[in-house]
This record gives sequence, C-alpha cells and structure tokens, in this order.
Amino acid sequence: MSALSPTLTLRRSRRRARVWHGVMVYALLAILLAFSLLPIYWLLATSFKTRFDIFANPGQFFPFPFTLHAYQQVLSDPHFLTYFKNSLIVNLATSLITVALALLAGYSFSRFRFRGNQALLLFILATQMFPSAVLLLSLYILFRQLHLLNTYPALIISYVTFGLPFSIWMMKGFADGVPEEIEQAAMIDGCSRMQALLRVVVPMLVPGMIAVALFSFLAGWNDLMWSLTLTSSTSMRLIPPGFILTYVGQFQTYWNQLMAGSVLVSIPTVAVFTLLQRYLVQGLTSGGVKG
Amino acid sequence: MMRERAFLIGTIFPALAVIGFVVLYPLVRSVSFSLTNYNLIFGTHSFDGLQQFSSLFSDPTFYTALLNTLLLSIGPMLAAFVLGFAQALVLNQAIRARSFFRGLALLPWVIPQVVVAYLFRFMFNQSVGVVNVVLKGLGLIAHSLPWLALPHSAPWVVGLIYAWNEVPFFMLMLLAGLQSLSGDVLEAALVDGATPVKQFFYIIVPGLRRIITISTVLIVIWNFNNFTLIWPTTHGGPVNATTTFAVWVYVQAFENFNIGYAAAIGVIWLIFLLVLTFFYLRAVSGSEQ
Repeated sequence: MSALSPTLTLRRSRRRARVWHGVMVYALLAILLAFSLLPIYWLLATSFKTRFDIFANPGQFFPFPFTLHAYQQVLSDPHFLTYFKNSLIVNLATSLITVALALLAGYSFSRFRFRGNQALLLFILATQMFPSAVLLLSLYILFRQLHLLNTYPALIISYVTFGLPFSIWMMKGFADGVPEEIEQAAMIDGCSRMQALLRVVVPMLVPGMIAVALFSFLAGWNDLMWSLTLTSSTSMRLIPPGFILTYVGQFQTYWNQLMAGSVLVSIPTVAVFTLLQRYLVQGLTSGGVKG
Repeated sequence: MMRERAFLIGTIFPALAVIGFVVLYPLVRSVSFSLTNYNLIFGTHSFDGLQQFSSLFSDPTFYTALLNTLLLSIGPMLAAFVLGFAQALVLNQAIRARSFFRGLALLPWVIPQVVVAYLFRFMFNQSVGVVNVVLKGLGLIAHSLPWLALPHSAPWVVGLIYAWNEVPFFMLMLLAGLQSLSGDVLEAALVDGATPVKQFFYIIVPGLRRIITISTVLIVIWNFNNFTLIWPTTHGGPVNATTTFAVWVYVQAFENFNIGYAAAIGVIWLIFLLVLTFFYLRAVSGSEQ
C-alpha cells in the first residue's frame, strides 16, 4: 500500500478535527442544557402523574399511567381561575401604563438635553435597586389609610415601578436609534411635536414598546411579596400568593396539582417570551452591550 | 421654546410622579419610621431616637441575616456566571437551530419564580423528592434527608435555586456580548497562534468587561432583594439559616408588625445596596462616553 499523499492526510485530519470539534460542541451543549432543563422536565412529568405514583414511586421517570387528572382538578378550581384572572388584569394594565410612561419619558430623554439630565437618568435607574421590602413597609401603611388594600390600583401602581426605570432606559435606547430628521420633517409639515411623536416616531418604536411591555409583564407576574401583603381577600388574590395558600397544606401537599398549576401559570410567560424574545434581548442588551 | 419646555415637562413628569409616589415617598417615610417605636400591635408610635439601631446591633439575628444576605448574593452569582458563560460560549459556536437551544436555555429564567421555588422544594422533599432517590441510587447517602429542614444543607439548596434561576440571564447577556465582538480580532489572534485559552483571557474577557460588570452587579443587587425564591422554600428557616434582610424585614413588618424595627433593618440594608448601586451606575455611565 502506498502512503497517502501529504495533502490528503492533512485534509483528512483537518476534517476529523472539525468533526471532533462538532461532537464536542454538541456534547457540551447537552450537558449544560441538562442542568437547566432536567428540573423543568421533572415539573412537566410530575404534572401528568397520579398522586399515588408520586408517593409510591418518587423516582418514576416517565409518568405512567399518564393522566390529565391534575390539570382537570386545577382548571375546575374556581379559586385558581380567579387568581389567574386577577394576575392577567393587573399585569396587562401594568404593561400598558409602563409602555405609555416609558415611551413619553424615554423619547424626551433621547431628544432633549437639559441641566442634570444625565444625573436624573442615573437617579431613575438607581430607584430600581432600592430594597422593595423597605418601600412596601410604608406603602402598606399608606394604602391601608387610603383604603386601597385589596384593590387593583394599589397593585398596578406598585407594579408599574418594578419595570419603569429600566423601561425608560430601554425606550431612550430605542429612540436614540430613530433619526431626528424624521420627526423634524413632520414638524415642518405642520405637526406639533406630540403629533410627530405619535404618528411618525411611535411606529418606529414598536420593537421597543414590545420589549418594555414584555419586561414589565414578567416583572409583575413574578412578584410574590407585594401581592401577598397588599391583598388578603380570596377574590383579589393573584397567582403567587394563591399558590402558597391553596396547594401547600400543613399536613399534605398536592404535588401533582401544584405542578400542573405551575405549568399553567408558566404558559403566559413562556408563550409571550418565545414569540417576542428577540425584542426583549434587543432591549436588555441595548444599554449593556454597546459602548 | 415655551412649547418645547411644556412638552418636556409633560412627558417626563408622569413617570417621575409614579416613581416619586411608590419609591421616594415610602423610602423617606420608612427611614423616618426607623427613628420611632412604631408598632401596629402595641399601638406605639413615638420618636425613639436611635434606640432601634442599638437593639439591632445587639441582636444576633442581625449578623446572621447580614452574613446570609452577602453569601446568598455573591455565591450563587459566581456559580451562575461560570455556567452562563459556558452556555454562551457553546451557543456562540456554529450550531444548528441556535435560537431554539437559546430559547430552551432561557426557560429557568422565564418561568415564574414562585414556580421555581416550589419545584425545588418538591425535588428536595424528604419523602417524595427525586434528589434523595438519585443520591440513594448512587450510594452517596444511606437514607433520605430533609434537605430544606437542616441548617447545614438549606442554605446550599437555596443557593442552588438562585443559581439555577439566573444562569440564563448571564447566558443571554454574554451571548449578546460575544456576538458583538469583532470577528476580525478573534481571527487575527488565531492566525497569530493564540490558543483558545489565551484567546479567551486576552481577547474575549477584556472585550466583554463592561457587560460582565453590569450583569454581575445587577444579579448581586437582585439577589440582595430576593424574597420570592426563599419565602416559599424555607420561610428563612430552619432557625434563621436562610434568613436574609428581605425575609427578616418581611417577618418583622408583616408578621410581628414591628414597623420601627423593620424600618431600622431596612435602613442598614439600603446602605449596602447604595454602595452596590454606585458601582452599577459607574459601570453603566462610564460606557456612555
């Protein structure tokens, strides 16, 4: 057998190296994703199990018998549906208000330079970092005096501030990307600045508005402490406190129902995120990456 | 000119008003509560000077909560940073269906935190938890342990929950950063014979320095404030083993109704956060120029 020509050997070893590299990359990807995804698999699998199997066979990997019983139980629980409705109302309202406020403020911070504007922007961002339990302490007492406990407005105005500071920064970032000539042309044509903003600039800021809506929705949907404190009646309760107070008994916990409920309350955030993730990524990194 | 000024004020004021009402006003009021003996159960509410602070500094729980808050803010952040960076580096390779895998990797961050808390509480449960089943199967433990009820293991489990939840955030930020690095520089380094390790430490890490600072400080701040991941899992227990400032303020304010004391804890907590926030803002604004 004659020896292979040197170039062929080289090409082969290169290709082999590339194949190896590919195998390594996918193997690493699998290991790293397993860390993130195994608990989520367990959440899903448990939600399709019977209560008996969870106790009798805690290591059962595939749900067998596979049952939707836990989902039926959760979905026929009127309390769960009330909590879900309350969470949707509060968080959708929060999103809308945050988008409106952040759009106006972010646009102006992008277009106007005034004394202290940089300091004001940094100050707004700093408010996002204040310890929320400390704020809640005083707001709880204020809302109690104003008879606003157990109402939507108390929750909504609180939730708006969760995402607003960061949202103003995101909107400013997006508005910086829209050339000023566009609204100047509209203003020469006789539009007021507000008309120019609404008719010409807003359509170009849609990705930013989606990012802000999503960010503020997720921030509110995640809250536990505020909703636990500001509501006490079952009819006004949101999902996170509802979870604590419904499925986790002192003596027994309905794990399959808890997991089925978990899957159901994760659907809105996962769905919204999957559809719109590129806008959020763009928004979150607009301030962080550039520069 | 007048119109422009009216427009500017009219657009910025609504946002500032909301922030003032929900953030600034309560902040000032809470600080003033810390100087009183305000208690909703005893009905006391009078000026008390620095009395709350002196009881606070002689309360052993204060030092426990401080240590727990610091450890739980920084430890899980480091673990999540390493794992998130690894995920970002792998996802930055030429792989098929990258956005699909990125979407999967994001799931731990997208599902609500209260769901995360209960999921881990279930997995670490003594009688029905899968962690005990696996560890027994591997022969690492002889019998099932109540992980979240033991003072030695509960902080580690809570730390694991934090880390698991925030890996995707690091992945997302660092992947975006990697994709913004110029390919030319990386290729030039390869041609010059830089090993991947050298390339990583001399080109990638310096190139991402700003995004690394911002995302790590942000996560530390979020961990400092976290309540949702701890409360449903341990309530700060067993015996304060996982009590952080967030949990402690909540307990003092809304279970003991000891408003003055809770406010005093809050003031100390706030001072720590202001220091962190200073570093964060410096990183954010330093890059604007």
